[in-house]
Amino acid sequence: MAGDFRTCPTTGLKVHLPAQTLIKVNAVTAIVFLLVGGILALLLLLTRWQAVHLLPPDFFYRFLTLHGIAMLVAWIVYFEVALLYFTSAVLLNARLATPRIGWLAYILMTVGASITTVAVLAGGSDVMFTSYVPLKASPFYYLGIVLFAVGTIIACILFFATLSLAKYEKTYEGSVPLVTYGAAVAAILAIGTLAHGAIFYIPTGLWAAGVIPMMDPEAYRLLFWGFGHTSQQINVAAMIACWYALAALTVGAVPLSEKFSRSAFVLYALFIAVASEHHLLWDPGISSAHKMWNTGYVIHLAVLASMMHAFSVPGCIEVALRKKGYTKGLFEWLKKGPWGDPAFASLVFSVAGFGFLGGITGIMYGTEQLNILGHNSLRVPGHFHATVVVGTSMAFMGITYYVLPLIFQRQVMFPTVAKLQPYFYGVGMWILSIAMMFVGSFGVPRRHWDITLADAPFKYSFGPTVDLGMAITAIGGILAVIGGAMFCVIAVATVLAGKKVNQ
Amino acid sequence: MSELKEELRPKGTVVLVYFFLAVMVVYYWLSWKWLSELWLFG
Repeated sequence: MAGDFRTCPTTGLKVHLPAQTLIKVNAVTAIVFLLVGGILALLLLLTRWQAVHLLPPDFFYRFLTLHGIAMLVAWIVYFEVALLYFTSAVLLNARLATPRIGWLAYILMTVGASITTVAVLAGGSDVMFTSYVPLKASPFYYLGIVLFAVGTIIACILFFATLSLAKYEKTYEGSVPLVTYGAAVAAILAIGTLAHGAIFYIPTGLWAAGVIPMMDPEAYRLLFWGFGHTSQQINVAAMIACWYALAALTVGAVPLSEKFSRSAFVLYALFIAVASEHHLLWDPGISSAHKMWNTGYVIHLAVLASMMHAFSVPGCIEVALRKKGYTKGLFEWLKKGPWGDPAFASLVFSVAGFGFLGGITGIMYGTEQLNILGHNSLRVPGHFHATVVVGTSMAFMGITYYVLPLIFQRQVMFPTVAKLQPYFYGVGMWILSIAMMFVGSFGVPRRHWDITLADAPFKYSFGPTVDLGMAITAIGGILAVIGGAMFCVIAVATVLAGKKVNQ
Repeated sequence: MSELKEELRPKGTVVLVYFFLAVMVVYYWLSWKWLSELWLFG
């Protein structure tokens, strides 16, 4: 059994080698999907930019569907599974309960993701991420997602089994670390979310195959958002766990109050799932009382949790930097922070972008009356590119700069490019998100191939302000794609050719 | 946090939090204003 472990020379942690291998394959697969999704993002950007208008409509909707699946599901979830194994087996000095089950989960996820990818690329499944009934995709599209969801549920169960095993074998003392605690909340949310996915994707797949005569669109929408948005809440919990980890790794920060931060995670576990109903605020099939309860009252307990973390994370970074002697004035600590460390820069972009861009706009769009202003406009993708891309993706990119030396045992290649990478990606995504929300406030629809409405039976022109806004969106997006490409090149080159850390 | 020395207390973060709240209040007010212009009554 001892031969199954190595001791990390940097952290002193005992690393279970089968867990390490599973972390590696899940992380690498995540980056492959990030690369695919990024290439598609560039093509989509150059199509929505009316001056370029690159793709024909069928390819636009096909690639938009795959972009959603690759980025919102595959890149994020593979990375989260790697995080679950890291925060359980590695951080607790434990062995992964059953590595073979981990491989089963990986195979199911990969077979599922591959089936869905092929089903979309083959055509006939241009249903976009929401795949609202009565839009009908190939039955294989739904089959792939169900297999992916089942694989992820198995990975979550393996995470909890590893936590139990670590407790039983007494591999750690006291409570689990805060990062593991946050990952556990993410895993709890993931199980409920993925169960929602299975509940409606199975009958929808049977409907698409002709076995079931009809699907209720209202029931579909309600259940879909139990999966579609709640999956983003998993990201929030995992991202905040990463924030605490990054704060510790980059500046040696410790939480201001463990109880405070843990209480905020508990609020997520209890209340964040209801936030998904804000997608249905203008859906006639759900009563106003129901919507108001979910989006007017309960959701704010989850918002409170985000506010608590939004104070706690920068607060602990400030205290850590003040302890290093940066005590002059209010912001010397921020000015003298390690801005050349790509993980620190990613962390700051992630926290600020998630709070200022994604958080504030999320509260507005989650309000029933205000939702009408932005519903189905580009404001909505502007919001979620701020939360999922600036927030979650940048947190995951930041932690990768530590996963590469600690788990892959390779020195990060191209350090100068790595220093610049978060600035390209972060600035680009900030520009893209703000510009999307700006043009969305003029009523520009989301997911629309041609906003000149050239072939429409009615004529409408959005005017030059929107044209300028769409061009700025594209420029921000191109900057972000360059930053994303830099990240992929650094990660792949380091994994394949990076110098061994212990050499 | 109460045990922290004066120079270590996260005063900058408190300012950032108030700035965040101010931005939220402004955007919230603007959103209701835009709504009132879009959704006319009477």
